[in-house]
Amino acid sequence: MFKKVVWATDGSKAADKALEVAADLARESGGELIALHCVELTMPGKAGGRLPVYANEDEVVTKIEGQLSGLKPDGLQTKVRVARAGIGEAAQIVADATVEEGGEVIVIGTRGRGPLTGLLLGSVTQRLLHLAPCPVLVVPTRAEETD
Amino acid sequence: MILICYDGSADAKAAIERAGELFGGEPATVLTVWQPIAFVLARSSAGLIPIAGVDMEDVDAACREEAESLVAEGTELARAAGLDAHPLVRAQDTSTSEAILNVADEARASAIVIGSRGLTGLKSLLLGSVSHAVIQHADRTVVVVPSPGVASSRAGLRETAGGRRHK
Repeated sequence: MFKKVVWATDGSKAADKALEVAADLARESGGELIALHCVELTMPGKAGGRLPVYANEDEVVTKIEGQLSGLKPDGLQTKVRVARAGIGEAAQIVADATVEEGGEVIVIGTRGRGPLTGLLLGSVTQRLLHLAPCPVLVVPTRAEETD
Repeated sequence: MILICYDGSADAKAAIERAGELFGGEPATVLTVWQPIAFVLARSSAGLIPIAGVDMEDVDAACREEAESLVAEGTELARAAGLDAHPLVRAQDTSTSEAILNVADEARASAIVIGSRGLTGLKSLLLGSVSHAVIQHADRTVVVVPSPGVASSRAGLRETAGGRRHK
């Protein structure tokens, strides 16, 4: 039974679909659901500052926190982890955080909110499959279900 | 019903064990896909010209038998892992991944479980072509399982590398 379930989310509808599966898994084992969100940052500017790529990051984090507290009535233990990293580093962040948390399974959508929604498989999910230290549950999203 | 893909590789064995943990007690089909020689030849420059002295039917019968003993091994492992498992052998028609997806559709599988790499696993290939194709085209949950060796080396790398910190 998987006691520590990692749900990798970028706030997209695809990630919401993955949550349904992740929550079921955590409920069944009476374990913990760890939501992992990686804020993607631009390259450093002249002054060294980096900005989030997506303007609505605060809303995304609020949404994730809301989704997890919605699971509390089920008695589910939950945790949110927000990381910040450069573009393209999200998959490594998810893998690293999973090791740190002792995550036993990662649940992720096939696509997220990235711009190339024509792709069948998002880049983070694809990279994650090369890096994950544990099984990865890839939850499909149909084209009409993406953001 | 869970569909578990089995080719005898370390990743596939790990996939069966993880499937047992995830879906213990549930009905499962253990699937081994085999490649009829016509498809092997079709990819070669000789096209479909039969090889002199070789009976294609005999070769196919031998390949099918091999697949059957492999799937029997996988089914035993799955039962030992707590699954209500049954074997299935299927000849690929266009590709292995397509055979897997067709079986999943026909059986209305709730999930597909597959190893991340298989037998043709060049060690440099971290993700096999079959698992990659299955994820791209599946319309149901796919569980991709790394072999224990790969999983622990990935977990270990993180701990020794130490300096991977991001602001």
